[in-house]
Amino acid sequence: MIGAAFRGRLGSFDLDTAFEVPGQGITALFGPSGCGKTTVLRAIAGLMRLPEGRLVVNGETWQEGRRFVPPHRRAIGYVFQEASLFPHLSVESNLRFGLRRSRGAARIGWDEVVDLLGIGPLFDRPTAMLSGGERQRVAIGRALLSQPQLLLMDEPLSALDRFSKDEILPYLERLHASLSIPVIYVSHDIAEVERLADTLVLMGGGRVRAAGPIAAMLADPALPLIRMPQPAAVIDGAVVSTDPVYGLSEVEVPGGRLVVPGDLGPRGMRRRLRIPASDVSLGRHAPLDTTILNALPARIQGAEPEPGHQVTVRLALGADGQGAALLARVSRKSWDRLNLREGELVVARLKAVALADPAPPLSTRVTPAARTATS
Amino acid sequence: MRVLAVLVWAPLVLIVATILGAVGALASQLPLASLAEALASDETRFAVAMSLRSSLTALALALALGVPSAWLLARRRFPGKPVVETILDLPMVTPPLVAGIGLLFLLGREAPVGGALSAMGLELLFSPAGVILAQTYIATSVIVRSARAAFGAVDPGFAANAATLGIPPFWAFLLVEVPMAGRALLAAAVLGWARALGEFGATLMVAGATRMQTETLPMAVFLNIASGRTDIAIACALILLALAFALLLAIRLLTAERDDSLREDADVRFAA
Repeated sequence: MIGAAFRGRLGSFDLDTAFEVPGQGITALFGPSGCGKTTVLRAIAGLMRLPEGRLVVNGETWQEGRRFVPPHRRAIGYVFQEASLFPHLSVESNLRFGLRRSRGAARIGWDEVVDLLGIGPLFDRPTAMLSGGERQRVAIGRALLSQPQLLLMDEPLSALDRFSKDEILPYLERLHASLSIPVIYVSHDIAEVERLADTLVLMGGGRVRAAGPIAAMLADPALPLIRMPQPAAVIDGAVVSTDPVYGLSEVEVPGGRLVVPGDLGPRGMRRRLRIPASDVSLGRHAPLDTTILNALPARIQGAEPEPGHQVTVRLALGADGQGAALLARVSRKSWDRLNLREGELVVARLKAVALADPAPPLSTRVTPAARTATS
Repeated sequence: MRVLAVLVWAPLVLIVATILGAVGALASQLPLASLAEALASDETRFAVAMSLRSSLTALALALALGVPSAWLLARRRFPGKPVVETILDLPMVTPPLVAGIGLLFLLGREAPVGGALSAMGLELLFSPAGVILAQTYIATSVIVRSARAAFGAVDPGFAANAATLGIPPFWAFLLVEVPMAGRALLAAAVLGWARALGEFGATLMVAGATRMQTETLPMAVFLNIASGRTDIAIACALILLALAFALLLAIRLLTAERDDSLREDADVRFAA
């Protein structure tokens, strides 16, 4: 468990945040620029001391009352927005710098990190000769080698171009799959959050608006996320089978099974699916002749009227309405014509189901060492 | 264009010619044989040894005092900082002679500070220790100023980054900030050393001009011009010039990168 509460004034900015998130997985601190995300992250790292603060990370109190553990005594890794690799050191020396704290008792091994991030070939290059994505990978590796119990990432992709982002995201996913270190990830990009986060802390104007599991937060009618221009649901599932003839995989999700294009890896492998609300249509009956592969029973949980004569319908998969949350954006006319109501059973037709992480299944490459680290 | 060329080149040529003229005149005062003899004389050799020993000691002291102070000024805010900074710059703008008199009165046996030191058996005035004191006083001021700029150029984010990697502040200073400010710090040290080597006014007041005792190179020039031994004066002056040239060249090479960027900027401006 990570419990954080910080309060203080920074110039004219008033910060008052409190949240509690699981001590594992990726937690996204999400909100518009200037809402205090980075301040909270710096306060967690101890790089900034807010007058009133309380921080407990997996049972260890890092700040409370007059107690304040300085940053170098906190078992954190911090990846800054722009990779601040030490320019006077080579790539390898930068990584070795990370090892200093471990004093030989490394839980996260050198080879494991180098392999995980694919940074072996960069060792001899001066840091100035690395691309943005490469620099960030080395910075992440260095942070990991310092044996953190908590990894803090401050918009690690925001300074990168599209190409470098796509290069680095699979590594972050791989990290997520193979290491058990909790991550707090600051971002203002919902696409990154949908792809990576397990838990979402929604911030705005120096306050925490809400915190909870990502799937529930995206479909929460009380939160602004559902009213984004392109709302989507994310559903985590496990691969059941693959069909090489048609190039499809079947994924078991709470409340049903989804057919997804591509070979999604071996049976049992966890994958995250992203289903945009605009790709979901609703009907009272299962479609007969259709090219749509996924048509699942779901219960209507509610409906949010949208500007532009549309309605965002909140659904839960399964006839019992206990399954994964799904969103459908339909026209108000269809909504009225079908005379749909909350609690009714419908068939949700999914035009497209895609992986939230379109990259190849890198996490299959979990090394034995990594497994020891997670256990 | 041609008018501009003349306007900018003529003054440069004049300045360089004057400097070279003065140096050349100094060098050609003596026939080569007597110069060699003067260079090998006991007094010249003593002055060289004295100058090197005292200036290097002064440099070490000035670095030990100046670098931490410079870091503090570059990284921390504290009440009265502008006043402290102005005080630190004072030795750079006051004539060394004035600084020397001040030190003399501060450390004289009748003065409280000097008296206390004297009681402890520390005789700073009119001794080789006084030479080191005067040189340290002057060099420290130069080093604080340049080292402060050197640390100012290093993003404090790097030290924060080191902290998140578990490096305590002192080691972050030593392993990250000092190496990153490295070239500029080295240039600051060379500049401080050059000032210590050339120090005359404050040394004269604090250590006195005693032949074969507090006789640094500048002191040797002064003493021997006064007593008519022009040959030794010239030999020592030439050694000082050679040392100064070498040190300035070293600073130039250490800060070469910055010069390159300046030149490129200038080229762009001319081309536009």
